[in-house]
Amino acid sequence: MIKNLSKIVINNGGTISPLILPSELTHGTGLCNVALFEDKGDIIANIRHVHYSLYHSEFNQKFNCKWGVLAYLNPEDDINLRTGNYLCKINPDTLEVDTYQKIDTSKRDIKPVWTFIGLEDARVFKWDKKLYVCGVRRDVKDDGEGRMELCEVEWDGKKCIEKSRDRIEVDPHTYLEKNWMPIFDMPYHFVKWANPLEIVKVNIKDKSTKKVKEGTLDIISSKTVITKDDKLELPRGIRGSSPVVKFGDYRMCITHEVDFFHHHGMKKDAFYYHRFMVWDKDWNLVSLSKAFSFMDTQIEFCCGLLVKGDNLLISFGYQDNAAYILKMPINLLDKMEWEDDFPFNLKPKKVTWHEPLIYNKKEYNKFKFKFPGLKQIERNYSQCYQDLFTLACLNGKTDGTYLEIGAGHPFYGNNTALLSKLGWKGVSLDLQKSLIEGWKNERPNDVCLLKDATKVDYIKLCKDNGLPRYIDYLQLDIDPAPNTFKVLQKIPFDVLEFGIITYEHDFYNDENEEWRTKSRELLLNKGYTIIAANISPDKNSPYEDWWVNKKYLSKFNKNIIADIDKESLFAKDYMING
Amino acid sequence: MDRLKEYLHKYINNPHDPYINAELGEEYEKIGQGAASLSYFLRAAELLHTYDPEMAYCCVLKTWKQLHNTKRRPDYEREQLQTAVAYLPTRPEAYYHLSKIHSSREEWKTSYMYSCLGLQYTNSPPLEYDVGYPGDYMLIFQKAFTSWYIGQREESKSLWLQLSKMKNIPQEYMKIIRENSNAYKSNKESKKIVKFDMWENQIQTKKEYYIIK
Repeated sequence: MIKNLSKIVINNGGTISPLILPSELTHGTGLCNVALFEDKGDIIANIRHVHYSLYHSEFNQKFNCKWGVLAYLNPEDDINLRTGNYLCKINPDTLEVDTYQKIDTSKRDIKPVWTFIGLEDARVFKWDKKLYVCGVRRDVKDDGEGRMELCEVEWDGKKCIEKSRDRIEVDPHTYLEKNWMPIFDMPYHFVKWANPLEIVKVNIKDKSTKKVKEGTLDIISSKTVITKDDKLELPRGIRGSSPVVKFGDYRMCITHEVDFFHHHGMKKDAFYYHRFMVWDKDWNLVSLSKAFSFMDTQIEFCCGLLVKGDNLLISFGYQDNAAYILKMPINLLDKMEWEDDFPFNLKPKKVTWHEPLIYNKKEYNKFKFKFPGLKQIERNYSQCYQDLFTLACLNGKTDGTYLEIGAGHPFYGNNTALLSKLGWKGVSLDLQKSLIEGWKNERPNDVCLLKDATKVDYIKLCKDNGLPRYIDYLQLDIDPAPNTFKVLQKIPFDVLEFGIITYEHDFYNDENEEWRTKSRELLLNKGYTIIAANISPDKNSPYEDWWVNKKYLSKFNKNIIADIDKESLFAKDYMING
Repeated sequence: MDRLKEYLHKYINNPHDPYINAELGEEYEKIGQGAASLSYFLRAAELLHTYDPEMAYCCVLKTWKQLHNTKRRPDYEREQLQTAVAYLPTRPEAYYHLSKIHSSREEWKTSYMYSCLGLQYTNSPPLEYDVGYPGDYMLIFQKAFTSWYIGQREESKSLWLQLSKMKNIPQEYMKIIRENSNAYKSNKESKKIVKFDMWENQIQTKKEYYIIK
């Protein structure tokens, strides 16, 4: 399971931004569960402000408060849990809040008779040119009955007023309806249940009124219009979370699920997880990601999803206390883990992203290919020990040189960060501007250039950056595999020589099994030999070959053992004794 | 916002590093986002529970500080301080805040008790973050202040005198100390109540102290 989607995102060209409202408005209490919507190019957000701070003690749960390890710390002179909503314009570059306005609900409010007060987890959208927020309200009946309420909002930049408030009734009667997912491109339709699918349509013309203890409610009806019978067997029930948005010819949403448990105080606690879910135009489920967390914490909740250019904008609350927008490049969907047996073409064959397999000092005795200086190394950074393999081959060289094509993050999963720390010099290339900015901040003394690696004159590049004709280490890893091969073809091996090459062919994800074969033919022909073939971050995702230059074989560490016969060579097994 | 984003990135890359959690909590506190700050400091405290007690204690006090800044949660505040004391009873800061809470409620004996407990642990090394503890002199101040009310007037007098000779006490506190010391010298028996307004160190909330001349 991906426990920290944000980590993958920010280390692969995405960004994250905290959403903040001035504490003069909120007294510093929680901002959470943000919804998103795009209106004529503007990014609109609805931020939920709660009048409490959620106290949630995680891990060993040693520091409980008065009510245990999980409690709403509401004002002690007001036992109610109040929610207010702020409509905001989001700066498209920084993803920070530009302007904000509290939704004035005073014209429609009646005296609350239940402790959860206000419209909770409201999604924001436009249907028939009208701006709506729609969430669950539980404060009008003294048993806490909850219904989705569709509220039209008038927002002119100076004031933001709730114009209408229609409570969506259901038949047959239920106690609580919440987290219906509005379908942005189908006015008045919601995905009420995702597994199996049930879509309801509200009829805004079928209006009635209903008297309750403290006032009168405007009611509209709803009815189920689409259902599917194919329920998936999953460990937990799937519930609504983000809106449903168009995604090419498909529709996509993010769902949530809750894994309840009882903590040692015997009270209820939970882990929240989310999934990407994709349907085709006929509402057949075509792809479902495995469950994931956003920031490796227990309580998270997503209310916002937008497709904006090549990115997904995803907004979520963190423990009801903080709110964030994640800008996720769409191609990172390939790095998600997906449930099997769905036809959607974005779904990769196998898992494509793994947390780096980090070596730490405690593993020294188990490390197979010891080299001078290993004892002093606290940790490495590569995804699959490429940095340590290189050092091992070169007997712990400290003044080596490298050419890193497809640099990625300056440290996270990076193959040259450790080498640089030891004194190596080199040049790195990447195509993503945000990653280059990261290098400027985090590895200011190293050269990382914003370049399309398929269009570089490598002789000139090396000359301009003071690299010799013999370079100790070449890393080749630019997604996707055909592009990596394109770069391999472009490298003038008759002029430049390399000691070690780590080459990413992504065989696990190569339907025609083309790029591994081609790269092997080329490198064998250029005088290189494979030492470790089909390196994999797990037991079954072969994605790289590691090569050495035959000409310099005699100078390399004699302890290195070649392993070239396995279909998938788990990097940890190759480098570390079990 | 830049620093907040910087620490947010660090946190995302290592969400189980307690010190990064604490740094992120501190950044949120600086911009008044108490709830978010509370979340990260509480995570830090949990992660530090078994191997860095002083820092864990500091983080628990930080959760108290967020509640204190948010206001309207006096019981939660008091109990968070008690959590800190229960976890590490050999530091002065939580005792000081407990003493203040009880003196503000005119629970003089309890306040006096907490000041005495705190004074056992003066000269402790400073904590990593500001938890609203101005210095050990404030525990003496609390004791001087409350001892008068519980009838320990000679003790109160000697404490005001002791304070009046201490260096590096902020001007506004020293003014009160001198006035009380002088009051004792001039007229021990006066029953006139003089109100002093004081600004707490770091926390921009106005507190009122009532000292009898």
